This record gives sequence, structure tokens and C-alpha cells, in this order.
Amino acid sequence: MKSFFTLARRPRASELLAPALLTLFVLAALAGPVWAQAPQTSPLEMRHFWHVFIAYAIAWVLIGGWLFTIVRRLRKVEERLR
Amino acid sequence: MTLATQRKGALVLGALGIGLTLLFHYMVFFTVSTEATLGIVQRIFYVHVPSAWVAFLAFGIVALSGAVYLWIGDERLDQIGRAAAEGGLAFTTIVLLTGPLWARLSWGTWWTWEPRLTFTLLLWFIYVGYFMVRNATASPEQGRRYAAVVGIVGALNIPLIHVSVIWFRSLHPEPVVLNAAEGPSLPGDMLATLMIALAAWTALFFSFFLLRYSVLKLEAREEERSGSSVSGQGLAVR
Repeated sequence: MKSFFTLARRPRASELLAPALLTLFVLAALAGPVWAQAPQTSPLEMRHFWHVFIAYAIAWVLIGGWLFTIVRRLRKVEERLR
Repeated sequence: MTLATQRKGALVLGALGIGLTLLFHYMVFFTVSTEATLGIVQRIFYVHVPSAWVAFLAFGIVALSGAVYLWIGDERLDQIGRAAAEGGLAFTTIVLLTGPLWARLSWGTWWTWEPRLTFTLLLWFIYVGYFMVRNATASPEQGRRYAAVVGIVGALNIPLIHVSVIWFRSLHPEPVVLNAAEGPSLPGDMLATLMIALAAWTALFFSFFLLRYSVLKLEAREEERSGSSVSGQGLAVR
């Protein structure tokens, strides 16, 4: 038995165009006011954000990396001692 | 200190460190005021400066344990130095990588050969050398002694890094907390964020340091066991 959502045939591209355009239009209409109210962020300011995020990511990768190597060594030595 | 106590200590300090880290990340990204001239990028300061302090603390431990090791020759002191040096190297790497991210937007360059940056890079190379000399000698005992000497010599660079911005013409900002003449010049919320970040990094460092030290002790115990079993086999053969 076919499900309610099962299509009898694959839809043609032309048939999908209208719903796709309608979806885009609705999304644009919703996003417009939100975009207009958002604080203006210059590309330079965005670059500042990226540098901050990368700096904190580097710190976490290095601290995490140190912990990872310690735990790996601990497991190895415990296995050998058993 | 037994292995169980060390691990318990590492766990408690680790939990404290993670809690404080979450708190200081919240402060950095949501509450602390933005510096007027530098803007958002100044927030790198809260990860850069505590990393430098913890690295100096770690290398101080390396130098102290190295000096006492050369004096009394207790292998545990070498293990303490080695565990601290690993942490110091990790935190110095953070300093050397986060600094250029700030410098690119403030100075317009990733790197410049100004005194503080150069001395910090030198410190990093010295402690890479600390690990290299261990494996470059005929006997492990000799390697440990050489490493202790390198650890002491490396730590002599730390006061030089601190005063380099005062003694030499330097691009790097002068100290804003450990300023002997004026005292801390940071606004209250920035100073609080910095202090919490410092406490968090210190707790995490000591947590991982204890864990690493316990692993080194276990490895030494394993070496002792394998050594005694080899000599035991030798006796049986004879």
C-alpha cells in the first residue's frame, strides 16, 4: 500500500519551479525586516570577531591536546602494568 | 603524595578549572566592557595574558625542581620538572599564536622582531631544547641533568621578558596589572575577568600537571619492574 506522501511519478522541473520561487519569496519577506533591524557590522568588525574566536579555539585545542596526550599515556602505562 | 591523592587532586582542580573557565568565557563574550580604542579584538587579552602567566609559573617550577634535582638527585624532582615543562610549552604556544591574531589588527602585522616577542620565542625554543637534550645523551641520568640545566637557563629569560617592554623600545603594550609604578590600570570588570581567567588557567594547569606527574611516576614504576624482571631472568639463567 502506498503512503499518502508517495508520489506516483517524479515531478518535472517546471512543476517544482513555482513552489521553489514561492518559498524564496516568503523567506525574503520574513528576513527583510529582521535584516533592516540588525546592527550594522562592518567587514573589519567581523574580522575582529573571527580573530577572537580563532584565538580561543587555539587555546582550547592546545589545552585539550595536552590533556589528550596525558590520558593516552595513562591508558597505555596502565595496560602494560596490568 | 600517593597516586590516588594525586588523581583526586587533579579531578578537583580540573572541575574547578572548567567551572571558572565557563564563567570567564561567559564574561568575555557577554558581560565585559569593550575597550574603546581596540574594540572587540582586545578580548584576546583574556586568553593571551593568563596563558603567559601560567607559562612563566610552569617554567619557574621547572627551574626550581631542576636546581634541587641537581643538588640532591631525587628522580621525582625531574618528573615534576618534566610535567611542568610540558604545560609551560603548551601555554607558551598559546601565547605565541594568540598574540599575532591581536597584533595583525592592532599593529597591522602578524609578527615583528621586537624584544618581548623575540624573547618569548626564544623561551619556547629553550624549552623545546629541554625535551631534546633528554634523548640526546648516552645515559638517561645524564639527559636528566642536562635538561635541568637547560630548565634553569630558560627561566632566566622570564624576568627579561617582563622588563623588556620597559628597558627597550617596544611595540608591545606595557604591563597593565603588574605595574610597579602605577599599580593595576584596568577598569574593575576587565580586571575581574582577567583574574578569573588567570585562576581558571592556573587550576587547569595544576590539574593536568598532577595527572602528568602521576603518569610519569607510573612509567618509572613500570621501568623499575621491567628492569627487575630482566635482572631476575638474568639470575635465573646464571
